Amino acid sequence: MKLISCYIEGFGKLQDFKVDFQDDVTVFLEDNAWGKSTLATFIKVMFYGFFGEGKKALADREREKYRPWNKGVYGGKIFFESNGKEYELRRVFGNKEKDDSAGLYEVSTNLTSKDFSLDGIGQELFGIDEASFLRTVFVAQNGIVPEDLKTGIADDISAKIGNLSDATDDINNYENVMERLTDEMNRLTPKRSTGLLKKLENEIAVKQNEVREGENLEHAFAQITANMEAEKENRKNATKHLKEVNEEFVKVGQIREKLVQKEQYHKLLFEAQESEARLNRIKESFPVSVPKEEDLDRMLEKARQRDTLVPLLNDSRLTGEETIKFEKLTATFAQGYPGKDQLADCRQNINKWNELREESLAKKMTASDQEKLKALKEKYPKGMGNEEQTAFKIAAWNSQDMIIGNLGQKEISFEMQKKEHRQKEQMKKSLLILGILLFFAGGVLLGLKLMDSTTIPVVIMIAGILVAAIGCIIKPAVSSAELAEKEAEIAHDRKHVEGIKDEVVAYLGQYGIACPMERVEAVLYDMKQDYTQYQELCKKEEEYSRYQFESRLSKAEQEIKAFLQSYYPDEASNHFTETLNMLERESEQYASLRDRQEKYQALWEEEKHLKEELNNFVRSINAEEVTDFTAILLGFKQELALYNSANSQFHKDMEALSQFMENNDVEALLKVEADANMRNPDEIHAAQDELNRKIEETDEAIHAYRIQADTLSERIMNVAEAEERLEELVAVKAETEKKYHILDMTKQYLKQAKEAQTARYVAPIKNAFTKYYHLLTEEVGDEFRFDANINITKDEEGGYREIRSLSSGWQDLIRICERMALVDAMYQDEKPFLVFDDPFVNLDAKKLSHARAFLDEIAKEYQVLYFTCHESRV
Amino acid sequence: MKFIHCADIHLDSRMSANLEREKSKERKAEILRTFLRMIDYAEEQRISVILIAGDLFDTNKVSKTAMNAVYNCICTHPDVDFYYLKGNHDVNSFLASMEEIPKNLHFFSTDWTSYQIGKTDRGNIMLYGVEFDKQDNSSLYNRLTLNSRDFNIVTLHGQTNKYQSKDKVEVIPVSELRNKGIDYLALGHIHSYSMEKLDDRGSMCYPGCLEGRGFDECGEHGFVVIDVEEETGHFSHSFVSIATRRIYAPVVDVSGCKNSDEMVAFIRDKLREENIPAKSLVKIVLQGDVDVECDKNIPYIRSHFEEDFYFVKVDDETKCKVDYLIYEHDASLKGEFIRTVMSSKELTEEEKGEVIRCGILALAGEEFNQ
Repeated sequence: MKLISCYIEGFGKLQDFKVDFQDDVTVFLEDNAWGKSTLATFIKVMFYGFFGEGKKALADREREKYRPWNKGVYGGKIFFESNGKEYELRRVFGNKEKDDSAGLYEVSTNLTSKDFSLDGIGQELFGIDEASFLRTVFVAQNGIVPEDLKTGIADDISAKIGNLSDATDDINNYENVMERLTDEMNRLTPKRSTGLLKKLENEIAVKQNEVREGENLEHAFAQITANMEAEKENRKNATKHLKEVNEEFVKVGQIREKLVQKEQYHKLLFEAQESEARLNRIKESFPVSVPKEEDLDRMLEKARQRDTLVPLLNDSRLTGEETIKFEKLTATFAQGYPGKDQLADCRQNINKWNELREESLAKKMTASDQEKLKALKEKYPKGMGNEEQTAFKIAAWNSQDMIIGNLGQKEISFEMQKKEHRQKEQMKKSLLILGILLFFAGGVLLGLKLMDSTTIPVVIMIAGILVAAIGCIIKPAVSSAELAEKEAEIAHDRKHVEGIKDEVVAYLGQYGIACPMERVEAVLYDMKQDYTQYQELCKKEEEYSRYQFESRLSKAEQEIKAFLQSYYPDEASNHFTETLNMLERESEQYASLRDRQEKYQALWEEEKHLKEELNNFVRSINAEEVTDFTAILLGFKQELALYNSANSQFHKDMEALSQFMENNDVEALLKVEADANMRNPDEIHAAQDELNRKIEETDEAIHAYRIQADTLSERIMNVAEAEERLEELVAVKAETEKKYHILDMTKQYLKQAKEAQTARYVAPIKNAFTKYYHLLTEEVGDEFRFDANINITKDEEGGYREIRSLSSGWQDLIRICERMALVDAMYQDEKPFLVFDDPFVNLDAKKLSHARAFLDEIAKEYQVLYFTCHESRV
Repeated sequence: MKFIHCADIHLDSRMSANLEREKSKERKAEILRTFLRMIDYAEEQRISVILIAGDLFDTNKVSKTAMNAVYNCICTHPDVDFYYLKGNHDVNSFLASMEEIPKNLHFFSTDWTSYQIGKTDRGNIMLYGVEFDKQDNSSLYNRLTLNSRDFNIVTLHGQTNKYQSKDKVEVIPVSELRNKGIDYLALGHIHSYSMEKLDDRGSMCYPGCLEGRGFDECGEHGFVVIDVEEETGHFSHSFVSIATRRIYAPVVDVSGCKNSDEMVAFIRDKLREENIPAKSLVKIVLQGDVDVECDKNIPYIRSHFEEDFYFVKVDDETKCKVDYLIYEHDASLKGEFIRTVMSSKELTEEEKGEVIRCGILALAGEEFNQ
C-alpha cells in the first residue's frame, strides 16, 4: 500500500496544501510549527477518522484541534495505491462526525469504489485499528501517541503478527474473553463475599446450623412428647383414683343422703304440723267463716267508700237556718224558680226601663223649666221677637246710646270749640290791633323821633309786626265752617237717636211690652235671652212629648212587675233592680240548697246501703257488731293474709310431706343409721379437690407441652424446609464449583494457548528488532528480551527492566526498533507506508548518525514519510 | 369384606424433585389431599377398614395442618376403622397431638397386636401387626401364632431381603413368615407397588406410596383394595391408582444434534411417544454424544416444555465429542486452545470436553455459563 499524493483544503494550519509522495522516502524538512504533525495527523485522520470524538474537553478532540483557523472547508483528499489499484479518498469534515462527507473513487475510472468501506478503510487497508496504527506504522515522538494507547501490544497487532485470517476474531477477542471468564469466575468465586460460591457456602452454613438445630429440636420434641405422655399417664392414674374417691363419695353421699332424707322427713312432718297449728290459730280470727280475699277487698273498698261518704254527708246536710230558708224558698219557688235566661231577660228589661227613665228624665222639662216657660208665656203673651230682630234692635239701641254718649261729648266739645273760636277771634283781633298800634307807635316814634335811639322804635315796630303776625297766625282750632258742620252733625245725631228710640219702642209695643226708656235696653236683652230660652223650653217640651216616655215606661214597668210579682206578689215598688237581685240571689240559694238537700239524700241512701252490706259481711265472718268497718276489715285483711299464708304454707308442707312419702320409702328411711367408719364428706371432697387439682395441673402441663410440641413441630417443619434448601444448595454449590473449575481451567488453557501462539512469532520480531537496533546502535541487542505479549524488557544489573525505566532517548530508539520489528512481522506481503514524525529527535549524535542508514534500509521496503525540523536529522 | 392396604404416605415429607418452594408446598398439599381422597374412596366403596402399613408421616416434620387433616378425617369417618402401623419414619408426634384418640383409630405396639376386623364362614378375619423397635426383632416371628381357620392378615413395615434401602430399616426375613398361615402380608416401606406369592397360601404386597415425591419414584402410585370372600375365605386384590400426578424421567438420546432446536425436536418426539399427561412431573434426561461446538442451551430447551407439564427439568448427561483432527492444524487461538486442553494430563475426558466447550463458546462470544 503506497501513498501517492494528498491535497489539504483545510486542516489545522494547512490550507490549500498539496504534496506528492515519493516511493521511498519523502522528507519534510520544515521549521517548527510548519504543520508537520498536522500533515501526519491528516493522513491518519483520512484513514482512521478523528480521535477523542466523545471527549468532553474541546482540547481533547482532534476534530476541534485541527479545525481550519480560517473557517474554510475542513478536509481534503488523499491518493493511494493498494494491490495495484489507485484510489482517491476524499473527506470533508463537519462539526460532528455525522456531518462529515467522504468518497472513495477509483482513479482510473473516477467511479466510486466499494473496495473499502469509508468508515473502516484504515482497518481494512492496514489490518489494524487506529491505536495499533499509531503504535506501529505511525512512528512519532513519544508524546504524539495518546496516553491511553501507549501501553502493551494490541490484539489486532498480535493477530497481524500471528498472520491470522481477517475473518477470525479469536485472538482479537482474547482479552475480552479472558475478561468475561474472569468476570464470571469473580461472580462465582468462593474467595470473595460477593462470589456465588461464597454466598452458597455461607447459606449452606446457615442451613446446616438450622438442620443441626433441627436435631436439637427433634430431641426436644421427643422429650416434650415423652413428658406429655408421662403427664397423660399421671392424669390417667389420677383420673382412676378420682373415680374411686368419687365412688366413695357417692356411697357416703348416698348414706348421708338417706340420713338427710330421714331428717328431712322429720323436718317436713314437723313443719306440716307446725303450719297446721298456726293455721288453726289464725282461723280463730274468723269464727264464722273465712272470707275470700276478693270479697274482703271488695268490702274494704265499700267501707272506705262509706268512710268517704260520711263527711260528705255531714257537709251536705242543711243547717236549721238553711232548712228554714230552704222551706221558705221552696214556698217562693213553688212553681219553679227562674232560670238564668229569665233573670237575664228581666235584668235586661230593667236596664231598658232604667235607661228609658233616665232618658225621660233627661228629656223631661224640670219644674223650673216649666215655670219658666209658663212665666215666659205670661210675660210675652203676644209672643216675642226673634233673636235676630231683637239683636238688631239691641244694636240699634246701643248705637243710639253711643250716639247719645258721643253727642254729649260732641256738644261739650262744640261749645268749647265755639268758645275757643270766639276767644281766638277776639285775641286775633286784639293782637292785630295791638300789632298795628305798636307798629304805628313805633312808626310814630320813629317818625317823630321821639326817642333817642331808633332802636326802640324799631323794636317796637318789629314787635308790632310780630304781634300782628302773631295775630295773623293765630287761628282757632276749629273753623267756623267746621263749627257749623259740627252743629249740624249734632243735630243729626239727635234726630237719629230719636228715630231709634221710636223704632225700639214700637218694636216692644208690638209684643205688648211697655217700659221706660231706661229699661228698653234691658228689656231687649231680656227678650233676646228669653227668646232663646223660650225656644229651648219649647223644643224640650215638644221632644219629650214626641218620645212618649210615659207610655213606654208604664209598659216596661208592667212587664217587669209581672215577672217579679210572680215570685214576690207583694212587691209593688219600682225597685226593680233590687228586687231582681234579690230574686237572683234567692233562686241561687234555692238551687244550691235544693242540690245540697238532694245530694244529702242520695248520700244518706248510699251510706245506709253500704252500712247494711258491711254489717252483713262482717256478721258472716264475725258475729259481733261493729261500727268502724274499715278498721275491722283491715284487721280481717291482715288476718286473712296471715291465714292464706299459713294455709298455703300448710298445704305446701303437706304437699312436700306427701311427695316425700311418695318418693321415698319412709319406713326404710327411718331404719337408716350413720356408719361410724364412714369418711367425712369434707375429707372426701378435699381428696377430690386434691385429685382434681392434680388432674388440672396435669392438663395444664399437657396443654403446655402440647403448645411446646406444636411450636417445636412448626420449627421442625422449618428445619425440614431448611434441609430441603440445604440439599438444593449443596447440589447448586457442587454444580457451581464444577463450573468454576471449568472456567478456571478454560482460562488457564486459553492463556497457555495464547502464549503458545504468540510465542511462535516472538522470535521473528526479536530478530527484526535486533536488526534495526544494530542499524541504529551498531550493537547486538542481546540484552533485550521479548515475552509472548511482545513486551520488551532489558536485562540490566541482574534484572529485566521495563523500557519505561530507561531514558527518553533510549525509549525512543527502542520503540522505533520495536515498531519496525512489529511492522516487519505484521506485513509480510504488502507493505504499508510509514510515517516518521521526527522520531530521532531524542537520539544522541552517535545514534543519529546511524539514522540515515536506518531510513535507507527501511526505504528499501517501505514508503516512508519523514518529518523533521532540523537538517541534522535529515 | 373389603379393606384398603396403603403405606408410605409420608405426609409433609421433603420433595426430592428439586421443585421450587411453592410447588413443593403444592405437592405436599396434593399428597395430603390424595390421602383424604383415598378415605373418601373407602367411604364410597363402603370399605370399613383401612390399614396404613407405616410411614404415614415422615419423622416429626409434620405440619399441624396435616395432623389436623388426618385427625379430622378419621373423626369424620367413624364407620371406617383405621389401623395404623408406625413405620421407621413415624414418630409419636401425631399421637401426641391428639387430645383424644378417636375410637376408630387403632394402633399396634412392639409386641404382636391383633384385631378382628371381619368374619368369614370359616372363621374370623384377623389383622396382626407389630412395630419394630431398635432391638433385635428376630424372636418376634416365632411369637406369631395364627389360627389357620381365620383369614390372617399380617402387617409389617420394612424391606424384605430382596431390596436394598439407604434408610435404616428393619429387614424382614420373608422365610420366617412363610407357612405360618398368613393369607396376606401387608407390607410397607418400598414405594413402588409389587405383589407376589409368599407361600402356597398367601401373598405379600407392597402397595407403594400414594404419590411420588421425586424422580426416583416414577410410575403409577396408589393403594391396594383387598376383597375377602366371606364364604370361601379367598381374596382378590386390585391396585387403585390415585396419584394426582405421575412422575416421568424419559431419556432422550440427542447424539448428532447440532443445536438446541434439534434437541427440542428429539425431545418432543420422545414425549409424544411416551404420551405423558400434562399435569405430570417430567425430568428429561439428555444423553448421547454431542459435538463440543454444538449449541446446547439447557434453559432454552426447558423453556419449550415448561408450559406442557406441571414441572419440567432437563438433566444434561450428554458427553462432549471433540474431533481432534479438525483442530490439528487450526492455527487460530481456538485450535491452539483445543490442542492444549486435549494434551492436558490433569483433566479428565469429561472435563476436557467441558473446558473446550466453554472456551469455544467464550471465544465465539456466546454464553458459556449456562
